[in-house]
Amino acid sequence: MNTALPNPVMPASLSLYGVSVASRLLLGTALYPSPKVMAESVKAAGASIVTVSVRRESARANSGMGFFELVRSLNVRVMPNTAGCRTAREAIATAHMARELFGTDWVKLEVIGNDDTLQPDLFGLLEAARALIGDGFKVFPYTTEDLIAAERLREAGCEVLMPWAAPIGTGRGLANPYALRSLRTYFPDTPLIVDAGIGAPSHAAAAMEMGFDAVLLNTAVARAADPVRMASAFAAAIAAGRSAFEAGLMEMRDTAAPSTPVAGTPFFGLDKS
Amino acid sequence: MFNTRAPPTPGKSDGPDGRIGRARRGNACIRNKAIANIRQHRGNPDTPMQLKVFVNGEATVTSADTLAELVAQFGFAETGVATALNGDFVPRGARQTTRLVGDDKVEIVSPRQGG
Repeated sequence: MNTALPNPVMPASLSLYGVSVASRLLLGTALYPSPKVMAESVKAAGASIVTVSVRRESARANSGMGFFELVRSLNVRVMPNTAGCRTAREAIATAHMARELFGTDWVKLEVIGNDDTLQPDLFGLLEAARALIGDGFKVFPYTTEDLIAAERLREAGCEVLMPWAAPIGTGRGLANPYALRSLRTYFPDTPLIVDAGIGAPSHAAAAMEMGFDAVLLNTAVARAADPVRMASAFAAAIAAGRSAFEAGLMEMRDTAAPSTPVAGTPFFGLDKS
Repeated sequence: MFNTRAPPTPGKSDGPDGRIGRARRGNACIRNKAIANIRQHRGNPDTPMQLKVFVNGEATVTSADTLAELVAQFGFAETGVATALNGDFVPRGARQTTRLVGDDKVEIVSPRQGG
């Protein structure tokens, strides 16, 4: 556990692969009603990192660089993903294409094992992580709460892990809080980013209160009735959850305990006679 | 890691029913077509070599000799796209020297929104 008490005034800063990151909210750039709303949401979230992808370019549209220009104008760090890749080989090739296009060796590594759950294929993930780390990538693996997979990924050289809260796009929040808490306890010094399945600011706050270092989400903001306002709601929730963690939550107990002093209660003992 | 034109691992793409997979069939096909193309080219030096390749999953006939020419023929800016050939990344600097053969599967991608 992180036993050093954080400075209560200056919140502890987050460092990912040696890069100091101001915001603990990482935001996706997909599914917004328009590019303008996406850009405004990123600003409202105060995000320092946004996720992006690569997709087949059409000779007619030729639109990829227009999107990238917009993202560049936001002055945020980009983290390309390998979304949709079904094998380590696909993910490795996709990561290389993304590195060349976006000029970053950061990659959100996804190897998807099941179309319905979009569940990470932990075996393919590990294989791809090993190869990409060998090729000089800074790998952010999208993984489950599985402790052994997490250990193997750490051994492979992943300095950050990104466990899911619930399947991508479900908005169900922390599906397995016990397992997430175990993961946090097991890896006290590894930056852990809860990625996927967050639906409401309260979910994000809960993850932060558990001591997770950051939250990555997309659909919950992009599909809100007012994405820009939802982005700032998430920013507030994540800041609150982090402050709560740093402040140290009280112990939960099974029995009631009065908060108002018992000593000096008026009429104490009068009806005993 | 990068495309070296090594033959695919035997049987890697074979179907569960024991059918010979795409990669192996493709490989034999690539050789035959390449030979046919070279013969045709030698016979008619003025006719540009025509190749059938797959670009982003769509069959395309092209006169491009190299991956770099193919990217240019599609009207893509050199630095605006990234490429892969038969499943392996081809760095920008290697496109010029990456020659195409029949039935090559080319991916040409660009930046896009992501989660």
